[in-house]
Amino acid sequence: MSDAADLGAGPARTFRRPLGGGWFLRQPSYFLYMVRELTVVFMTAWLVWFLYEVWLLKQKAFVSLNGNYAVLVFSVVCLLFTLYHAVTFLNLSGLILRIPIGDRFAPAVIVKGLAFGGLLFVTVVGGAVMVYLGYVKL
Amino acid sequence: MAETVEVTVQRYNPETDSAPRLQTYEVPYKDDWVVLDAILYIKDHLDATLSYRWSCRMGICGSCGMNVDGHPKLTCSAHLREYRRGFTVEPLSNFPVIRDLVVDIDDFMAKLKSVKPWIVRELEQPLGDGEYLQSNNQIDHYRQFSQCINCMLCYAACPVYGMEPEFLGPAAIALARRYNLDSRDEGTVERVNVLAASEGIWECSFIGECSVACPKGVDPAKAIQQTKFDTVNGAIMSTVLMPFGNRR
Repeated sequence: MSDAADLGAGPARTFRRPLGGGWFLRQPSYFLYMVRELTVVFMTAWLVWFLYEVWLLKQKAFVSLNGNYAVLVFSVVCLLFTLYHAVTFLNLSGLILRIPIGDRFAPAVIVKGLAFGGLLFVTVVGGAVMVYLGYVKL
Repeated sequence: MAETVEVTVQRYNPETDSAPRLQTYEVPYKDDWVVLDAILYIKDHLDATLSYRWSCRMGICGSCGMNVDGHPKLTCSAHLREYRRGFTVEPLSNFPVIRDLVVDIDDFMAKLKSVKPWIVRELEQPLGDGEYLQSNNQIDHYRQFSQCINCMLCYAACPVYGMEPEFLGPAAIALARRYNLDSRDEGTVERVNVLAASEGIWECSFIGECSVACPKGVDPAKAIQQTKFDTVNGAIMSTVLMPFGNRR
C-alpha cells in the first residue's frame, strides 16, 4: 500500500494524493500568490534596516549608507515589492468593502478609486511633511 | 478515417491498486462533443469498468466535475475542440478518490450542512400571514452567491483545502454568505461560530482560484473576504463600541 493511500471511514479504501511542496509552480496564479506573500519578507527586512538606522542615530553612531549602491538596489527592490503588495491589497477593497448608499452599495470601482486615492494622498502628504521637516532634501 | 483524440484517464481500483495509474484511450473526435461525451464513449464502447459521476449534462447538477489537464472543470461544459491534441482526465484534486474518477464527497456535504444553508427564522411567521417579501435590490445583495451548484470545483482549485482538509472551504462559506445577506434570514449569529472558527474564514489566504474555477460565476473568494470584514466589524461593534447593547 502506498504511503499516500489511507483508510476511508467505511470499508472502501480511498486514495488521497498529497499536495506536494511544489504546488505553487503548477499554475501562474498560484506562483503570483506566493510572490505576493513573499513581498512581506522584503518589507520586513527594509523596516528592520530602517529601525537599525534609527537605533544608530540614537547612539550617535549613524553613518548614512544611502549612497551605497547595494543599499540603493535593496531599497528599490523593497519599494517594488511594497508597491506590488499595496496594489494587490487595494485592488481587493472594491471587492470587500460595501459602502451602503440607500438600499444599494457603492460600485466597486468607486471604492477602489477611493482606496488608491487615499494611498496617493497619504504618500504626498507624508512626503511633503518629510521635506518640510528637513528629513528629505529635494 | 475518422478523426480521433487521445484521452488519458486516471484509473484507481481500491481492491487491486495501491496508487492510481493512467490509461489512454482513442476516442472519436466530434466538434460538438464535450469531455463528458468522450468519457461516456469510453464507458459504452471501450471499457465498461470506468467509474465516474454525471447526471444532467447541462451544467446544472454539478456532478461531473473532474480535473481536465490539471484544471477543475465541469466535463459537460468543457468542449472537446479546446483539447484537440488530447487531454488527461483525473478526479478532482484535494478529495480522497474512491474509484477511478469518483471522489468522496462526505466531508464536503458535512461542511455544507454545518453552515445551515437554509433560511433560519427566530420565530416562523404563520402561513396565513403570507410570504416574506423582498425587493429586487434585496435579492441583488445575495443573488450571485445563490448560483452555487455544489460542484466542488472551488475545493479542487483551493491549495489551502489541499493542505488543510479541515478548512470549511469556498462553497460552504459562499452559501453561508448567501443566507447571511438574505433579508428573510435571521441565522447570522448561529452561523458565525462555524464561519469564524479557526478552520473557517481565517484559514483562507486569498489565493482566489476558487472564483476562477467556478463555472457559475460565483465569487467565493469575495464571499470569504466580505465575511472576514463583517465578522471583525461585528465583533468591534458588539464588544468595543456597544458593549452593553442588545447582544444575542
